[in-house]
Amino acid sequence: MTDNLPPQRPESLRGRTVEEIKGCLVALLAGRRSPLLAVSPTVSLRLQLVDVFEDSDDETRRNLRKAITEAIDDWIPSDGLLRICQLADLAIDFWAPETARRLANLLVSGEIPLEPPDKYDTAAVIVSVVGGFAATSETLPILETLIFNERLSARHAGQLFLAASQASAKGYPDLLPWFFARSDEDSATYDLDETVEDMVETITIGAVLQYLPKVNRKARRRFLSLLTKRNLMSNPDIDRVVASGEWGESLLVEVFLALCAQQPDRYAERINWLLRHELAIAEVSAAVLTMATVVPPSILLAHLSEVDPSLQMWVVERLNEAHRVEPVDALLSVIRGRSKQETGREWDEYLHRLEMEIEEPSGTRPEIGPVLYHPAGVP
Amino acid sequence: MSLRDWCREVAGDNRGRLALSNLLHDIPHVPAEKLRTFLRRIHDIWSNPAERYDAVELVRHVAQTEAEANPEDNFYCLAQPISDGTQCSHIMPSTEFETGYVDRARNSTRRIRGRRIRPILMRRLVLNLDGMLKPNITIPLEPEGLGWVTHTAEIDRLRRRHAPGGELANEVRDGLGLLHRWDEWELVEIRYPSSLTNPSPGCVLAPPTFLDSTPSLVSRSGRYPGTGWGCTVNLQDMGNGSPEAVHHPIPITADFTLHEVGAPNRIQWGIVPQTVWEASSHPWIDQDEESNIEMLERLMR
Repeated sequence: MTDNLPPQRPESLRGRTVEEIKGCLVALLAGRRSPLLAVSPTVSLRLQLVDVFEDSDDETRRNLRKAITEAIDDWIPSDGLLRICQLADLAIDFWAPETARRLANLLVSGEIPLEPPDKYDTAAVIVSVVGGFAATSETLPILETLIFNERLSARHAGQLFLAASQASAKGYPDLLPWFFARSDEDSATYDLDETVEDMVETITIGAVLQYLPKVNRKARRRFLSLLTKRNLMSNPDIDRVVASGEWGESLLVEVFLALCAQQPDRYAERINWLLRHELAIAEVSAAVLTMATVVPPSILLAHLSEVDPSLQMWVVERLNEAHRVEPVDALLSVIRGRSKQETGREWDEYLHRLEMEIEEPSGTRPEIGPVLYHPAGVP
Repeated sequence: MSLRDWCREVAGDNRGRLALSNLLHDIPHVPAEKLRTFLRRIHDIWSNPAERYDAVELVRHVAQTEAEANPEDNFYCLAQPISDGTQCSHIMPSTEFETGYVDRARNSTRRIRGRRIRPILMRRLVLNLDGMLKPNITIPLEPEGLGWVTHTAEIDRLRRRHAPGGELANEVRDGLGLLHRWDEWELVEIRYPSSLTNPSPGCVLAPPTFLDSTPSLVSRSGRYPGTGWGCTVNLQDMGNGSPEAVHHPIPITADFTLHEVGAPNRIQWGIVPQTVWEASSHPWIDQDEESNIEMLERLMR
């Protein structure tokens, strides 16, 4: 009695012609047997074929690629949508990018239905496979034919945008407005946060930021908001791009405002970061004034002490100028913050006394400004 | 050519002996009328020279043909249903999950080559399975026939010892007797809502019979101690492994979740196919062959 344990890797495809291998693949996909390759009925056929491919020698792999390419060329609608889905997925598994053009043409020609999605969602399968070849240089023009084809529904815009971004990161600024527009048409389909997160993972935040200046202003504002929402860009990421000289001052400020809007409680850290860059003072003042309008006053006060001490008074002046905080409240907030950070209990006692005085109806507000400049000097 | 000839042909290898041993075990667990119909089909096909099948594969062919003809009432899941409320899980390769279940347009999916899915896709599936799936999807995909599950607690027990990765995947695979997952395909756990395994018309779980499991080298009909569940063969020692059950396709709802398992990275099996069927409660041995065949012929009439 003999049993195969584990399943033997068939070598029967070695030396076979492309035509023979194609016949074998098509038979197996149709649920028939093939004399060339014994497969187990209890395991996914695709997985078995991938195992066969990976265990084959170079020539057999080449023939498998050609066979899958020819099988896709031969496909006609009467073969059924399931068959083209199976063949397309195998094209990725066998890495046959030469199938991308033909697959895209099936969509453009209407041989594969686009709307409504069929039982196998064939169009999405095809786009995912064509997009899967994005790493090859020949694929970008093919993706572009799909992107600029009006018949392709908004449903596939995310797939196409991400694939095209992967194929050419520097091209994403031109596509972003298109993607936003298409996704707005079918807003139920897309979670834009996830699409942007996927994009960053695919092309890296460095590339995203490098080409950010080329994104038009309207799309950029929305894009920045999405990038900051998931905390996808860090200050060092941005610093690296700024250091390379790719960004102008206005973009830096734009990013600063987006970061503050998304994470108001980290505005102080962002101010410290912004002021490290050598920007014109008028530009920075305008940025802080704008920031003050989007961050709630309670948060402005709560985190004021985290601003670089040498800049605190300047920032307090800006916040006052924006009519967002009273200077006395601001200074109290700074002192309260410092009492925790630096001198502890003695400051707490001082603060308590100070607050009592402020609360006295007949009292006048004490002059506490100099304290800021002498943090160690407890009155 | 007859049922008798078929039995003798099937008994010609370990895989067949296991199928026949399972058949003997399952006779009291399969409705008599179903068993009679099945044996007659085998007899008819095996007697017809125009139809040629591998003897062991014929069991699967008959079961599958019946399932295609009668999705609601076929040879699958015939044993006494389990309704003990135990939460269950199904193990499958992540790439199969991606190609079969994930809504590729909605998730802006691009396929990648290899035995794993993109890490970002895995993260999202783990975080929010419901939002990632094709509409009206079932597990298993229709018309594939059968879903196989084990106790979720069994997977959790292994998770307490290993983080997702090679070791966890090795142990899950070996404990569940997943002989066909011997390579490095990344595995995921589909966790069913606990409410599903309570008595419910939506999901009937049953221990697998020979009609569900043939042909397999390591599916041995039996019962997990103290329960109505079936019992896998542990690939490490060919002894009893984890509890298992089968079910017809059921819709995946928002209450299902997906969990990472990892990709098996080691094979250290000591599989001796003969020991699998010999350890059966009703092994098909030579000296009983005649009486067993006569019994099957009686059941067929």
